[in-house]
Formats: sequence, structure tokens, C-alpha cells
Amino acid sequence: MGMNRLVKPIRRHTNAIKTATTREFDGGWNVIDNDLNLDTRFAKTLKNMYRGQDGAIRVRQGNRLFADVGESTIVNVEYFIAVLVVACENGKLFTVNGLGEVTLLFDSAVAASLPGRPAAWGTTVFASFVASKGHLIVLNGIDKPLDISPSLSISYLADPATGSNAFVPRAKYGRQHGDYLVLAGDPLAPSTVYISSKNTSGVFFGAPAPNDGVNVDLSTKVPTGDTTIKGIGRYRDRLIILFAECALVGSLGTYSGSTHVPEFSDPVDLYGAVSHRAIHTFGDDILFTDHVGVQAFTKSIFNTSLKPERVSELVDPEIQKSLSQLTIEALEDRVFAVHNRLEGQYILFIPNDDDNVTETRGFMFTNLRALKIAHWAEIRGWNWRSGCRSQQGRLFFTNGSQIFLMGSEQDPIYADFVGDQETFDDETVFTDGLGFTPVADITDSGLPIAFEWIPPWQDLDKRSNSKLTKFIGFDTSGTATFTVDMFVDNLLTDPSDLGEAFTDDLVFSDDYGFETETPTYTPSLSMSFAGGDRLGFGGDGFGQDFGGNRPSRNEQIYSWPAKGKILKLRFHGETRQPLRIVSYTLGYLEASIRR
Amino acid sequence: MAEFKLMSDLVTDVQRELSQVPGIGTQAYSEDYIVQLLTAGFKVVFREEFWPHLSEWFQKTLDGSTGQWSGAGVDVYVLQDVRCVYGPKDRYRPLPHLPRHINPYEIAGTTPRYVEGRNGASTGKPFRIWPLAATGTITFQARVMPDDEVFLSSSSDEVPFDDLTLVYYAAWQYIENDGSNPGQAEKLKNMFEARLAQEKKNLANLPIDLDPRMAQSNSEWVELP
Repeated sequence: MGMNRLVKPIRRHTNAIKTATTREFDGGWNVIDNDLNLDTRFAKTLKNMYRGQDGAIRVRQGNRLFADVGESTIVNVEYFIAVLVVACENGKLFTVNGLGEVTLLFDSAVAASLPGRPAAWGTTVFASFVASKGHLIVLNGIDKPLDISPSLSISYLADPATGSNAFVPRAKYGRQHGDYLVLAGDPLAPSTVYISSKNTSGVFFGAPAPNDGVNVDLSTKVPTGDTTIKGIGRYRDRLIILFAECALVGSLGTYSGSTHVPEFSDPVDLYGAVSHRAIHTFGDDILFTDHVGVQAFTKSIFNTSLKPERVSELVDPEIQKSLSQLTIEALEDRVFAVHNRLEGQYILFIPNDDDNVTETRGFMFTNLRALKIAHWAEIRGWNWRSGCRSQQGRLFFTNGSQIFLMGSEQDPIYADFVGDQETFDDETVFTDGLGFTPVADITDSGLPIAFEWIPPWQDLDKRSNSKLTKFIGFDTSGTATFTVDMFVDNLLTDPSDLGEAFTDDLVFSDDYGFETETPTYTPSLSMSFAGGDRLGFGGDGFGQDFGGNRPSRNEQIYSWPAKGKILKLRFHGETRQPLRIVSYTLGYLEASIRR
Repeated sequence: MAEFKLMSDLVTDVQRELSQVPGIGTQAYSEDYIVQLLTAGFKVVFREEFWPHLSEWFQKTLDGSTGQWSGAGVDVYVLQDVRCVYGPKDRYRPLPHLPRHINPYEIAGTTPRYVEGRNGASTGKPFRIWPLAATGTITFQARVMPDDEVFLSSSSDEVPFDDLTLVYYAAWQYIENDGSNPGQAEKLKNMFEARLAQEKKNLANLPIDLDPRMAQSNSEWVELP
């Protein structure tokens, strides 16, 4: 037959096409290692996505408006017996119940009704909380501490015998440890810890007997750096006093006669803290943040001393980059962390400016020892001043006078600022990242979450051979739309991109524009897909009548033709819907070493 | 069901054959390539035979000086697509090729004697008649390639050839390039060849007139018994 001559005879082979499935992502975000030599378990970029407990890379939870105290910026919030206690910049305190109803707790009128008609708190940019003997103590380092009882009555923290708070220090932060309330951060004595009398909260050194309260100036025990106490932590039976560049590990409860003699005999050099609000103890871990990154103390196997550990080594450069933009005062006041008990996460938030904060960059550390999971992810698009965890494990965050509730696995929220902001009809927002407010319809409100995941370069086990990719496939769930880019041969960004021009298209006199956080990527291929739970043709909602996108859980194949020696994928998009990427598969032909 | 299909339908058929996810706009990277393969397949089978439905008769009057006709050309660009050329009043004998070993300029007269192929890409005149001074009306049959428009995936005009032949060809070429499942590639190749043979064989269904001078109907004067 004549047609045979039209096709050049080729060597017969059996199934030359190979497939490579990538589905282990337990390494998380890693900026330390060069991604030309990085295992695919890690991700070079992991923004607003993280490795969930099911092993999939998933879009983080969003949040919805929970309450608005209305009149002043919230500087800190804490959960206390079924309500949120909110401290505002104007010195007022409020409570917010489970229905989001706001009740005034403390202002000048309430203060005036107290015995002795004390003055109320003045303006404050900081507040911290410490639970002590069933009460919640509120501190700001300027005014005398407040004491909230379980019945939500409030008074100044005072010696119960005399009713006087003359000896209660104007501390900035505290920690209940054993039978003692330990306070520190007195601006007049920055290196002194104030330890209450045993089994009391308001009896400090100087108050009438019975009183074994003691003040300890730790400046002589600080081996390195500034002697100002930055925070107080607790780890099992140890009290940990953190300074900028070191930690003192101590223990309370040792007496010489009737005199309490706290011991601070175990200094740990170069493990310190920048903010008391970033110190969290849970189980066998105490995590805290210093100028280098996030640190931990764990118990030594061979003795009773504590072993320091840098848990953020893989992302330290990015944490340092964010911390370096802030003054010491901003670090103390604005850097904070929350502990997500439901998913075993420590989330550190660092503002992007001292005063004009437009975003608090989040560093999320998931640490599940039983599952041997420890990985990082980056959280973007939020601007929180403070946050806390409820007894049920739900996370609350504040921005301005508003309180937002973060979604959880049991009560998922797939968009940000639901009930507060909404998008244009085409799902876009204003150029500053904010949406319309107030919203027309709460159920349809919220801003899309911008996510991005860039795994490292892959050589498919043959670094020197060219690879001809032929198809791509995914295992996904959720209904979000996502875009997949593929890069080849280390060609990731456009080197001719000189930065962002002014609005009139002009650049600076050196021919460069503004530095942009998102570079101009140069993908070899790019295609958008829909999560595996998307119904597709006829099943999707209005505007998506024809399916709207390419289903990514389809065992038929998608053509994916490219050639390169090393390959890299990038998943990104903006969504108000759930998405989990369980695995991705490349079908490829192995070619020669010549590119 | 129509015999012919739109290019977009052919692309979907090929995608199904390849176990790709079908649908317009679904395969961002395979669709253009499949269109290219289908177009190539059409061009391959186009030249395989003088398909009646793709062929046309033309009659043109020679200009008497260039060996070509005056006025507009036709949508035929090479002599390979011309089946036969008849001189004025020729009924049974088409004009032959210009012999290789003859000096055409020495051919005298005005009666068309030979056909010589030319590049008709710009003129639409794929041959000329020797002697160049030949006059009269020539008649020729040629196969006419459809407009390029037909081969666009967005076209609303059908691709005028058997869809199975084209789909098997494109799928065979695609899967051969992928290097996956040699058995399937072999199967598609065999199906393409079998289908094309079937098409060609069916061309011969009508009775063949062995001597065109003995017409089947009484079109000429005959003596009745």
C-alpha cells in the first residue's frame, strides 16, 4: 500500500512513555535549600496553602466577621469562660459572647464605680492576658493590671486582704506558674520578675504579711545581650524568662526558711524572644520567636535540662526578612502568635510596618509529633492585630475594631472577610486588595483567597536526559479553579523584567521600576483546571453552565507537551471554594542528553 | 448523519480515540496539533486519488501567445492535481506531457499538442500548452483543494472527506509520536489503511466503460434494424 511510504519506519518499542506521580508533600515550605537540589516533599513557595493532615496540599481556611466592638482599635483579645475579652486602644475593655454580642466591661465609668474611684486605663497600644486561679489578669505595662473574675466582674488586681494594689507592678506581661503569678515588663524595672505570694494573684513583695512574694532582678544572670525581659514562658515545671538574646530557665517553690528563693540557674545563650505574645506552650513544646526565627525547648533525653532547638530553620531567612523591617517597640507590641489546637499549628504573625500596617505576614508551623509531621507554610492577605483560641479550639483574630472567626475543618470558611467585604461581579477586588463593604448579601460575601504552591525543580531521576512531557493528571478534591504553570530548564522568571513602572509607564532614572514581590514568570505551559468535586457540564451553578473548566479528577489524560531536562510546576489561583491537591502525575518520554 | 464533519468534531473524535479529555477548548495543547494532523491527513488522501467529489471540469480559451488562457486562474496550482487536458474538439485523446527530448519552440502551428506543468501558486494556471501560439478552448479536469478556512477548528464548513479515514490517520500519528502502546498505534495504522482502501474500492462500483467510443446510451446516430 502506497501510504506506508509516507511514514518513516521507526524502531518498535514497548510503552516508551513513563509516568511519575508526586504525592508526598510533608516537607512544607523550604527557602533554605536550593530548589535545584530539593526533594519534591518540600515547596519553594507555599502561600495560603499547607499540607493538611490527610497529606494533601490544601488552601487555608478563611474567616468571617464575628463581631465589631465599634469604637476603637482592638489591641488584644483573649478567650475567657465562654466570652472573648477585648482590650482596645482607648483603654476600654469589652466582652463578646458566642452570639457576637458586645458588652462593655471596663471604662472610666466602671472604674469610677470601684472602691476608691480609681481612674480607668488610658490609651494603650499593648495589652496581654494571663489566666490565674480562675481569673483573667489584663496587663499593658502602663497602668495597673486589671482582674476579671469568673462572673465577669472587673477590678484592679489587688491584695485581697487590704484591697490595695500599691505593690502590684505595672507589668506588661505575666505567666501563671505553679502556685505563683509571675509578672514582668515593668518599664521602671525591665529586668525584674515579680513573683506573687504563694497561692495568690495580687499579693506582691511589699504587701503586708502573710506574704512570701519576691522580686528578682535578673540582669546579673543574663549572659548575652540586652537585660530587658521580653517575655515569660512556661514549660512543664520550669519557668522560662526570655530576653532578646538568651533565656533563663528557672524553677519556683524553693524556700529558705519562709523565704521564697526562685532559682534561675540554667541560662541558654542565643535563644531569646522578640515578643511575649509569640510565646506558646503546648504539650511537650514551648515555641517562641526571636530575631533569628522560631525556637523551641524540649526535654533532654539524658538529664532534666532543656534542649533548645531551632524549628524554623527552613524558613528563617523569610522570618528574618519580615522581622528586620520593624523597630524593637513594634516587635514587642505587634508580633504575636496563636496556637491552633485543632490542627496542631503555631501561627506567627509579623506586621509589614511599624505604624502603617497593611498586612501581617503569617508563618504557620504545623507540628504533629505523633504523625511525625513538622512543616511550614506562609499565610498572606491578612492584617491582624491580635488573635486567640477558644476553649473549643476556634481561632479569633482582630483587625481594627472587628473580630473575625477563622474557619475550621468542622466549620469550614473558604473565603476571607465573609460578612465584611465582597468582590465585584467578576470576583475581583480593589487594587489594594480590599473589597466592597458593607456587603449586600452575607452568604455570598467574602474575598477570594490567593494561593500559590511552587514545588522544586524535578529531574525525574535522570538529570542529564531531556524529557518530553506528554500528559499531566491530578488527584484533587474541592471545587476551586486553579492554574498550573510548567517551567523548564531553570527558566522561571523573565530576566528582562526590570520592575513595575509608575502609572504613566515611566521607570526610575536607572531604568529600573519598583521591585515587585511577584516576579514575571515565564511558563512553558499554563492551563487551568477545576477541583475534582466540580460537577461539570450541567451541574455547576449560574455562569458555569457548561462546566466552567477542566475537571482535574479525570482518568483520561490532558496533553502537556514540553521539553526540558528539569521541570517545575506552579499551582496558583484565587478562590472562595475548597481545594486539595493530593497528587500530580506527569507522563513523559525520556530522550537523549542533548537538549 | 452527514458524511462529512466539522474540523471541531473531528478533533473531538481524535481526542476520544486517544483517551484524552474531549471537549472544545479542553485540551489547550493537543487541539492545534490534532488539527494539524487532520489537515495533513486530508492532504495525504487528497493526492491519493482523483476523488470525484473533489474534482471539477474547467473550460478555458487559450490566449494564442503564452500557451495559457486569458483571465482568472482556477484553484489548482500544480499539474499533479490535473487529471487530463483536452484540446479543442478532442473527445477521446487527452493531450500528452511535453516530451523531455523535444525543443518545444520548434513546434509550429496553432493546434494544442502538449501540456507542460507550471507553478500556478500565484496565477492559478498550473500548466501551459505547446505550442505557445495554440488557440481554441481547452477542457481539463482537476481536483480542487478546499479553502484553508475548512481546516480551522472554528470553521462552520465541513471537511469534505470520510471522517473515519482522517480520524484514524491523526490518532495514529499522535499516538506514534507519544510512544505509548505500540499495539494501539499499529491498530490505528491498519484501520486507516483499511478505511482508505475501502473508500478507493467503492469508487469502482459503477460499471467501467472499457471503450468510451461505445456509449451505453444512444447518444449518436445509429442505424435501426
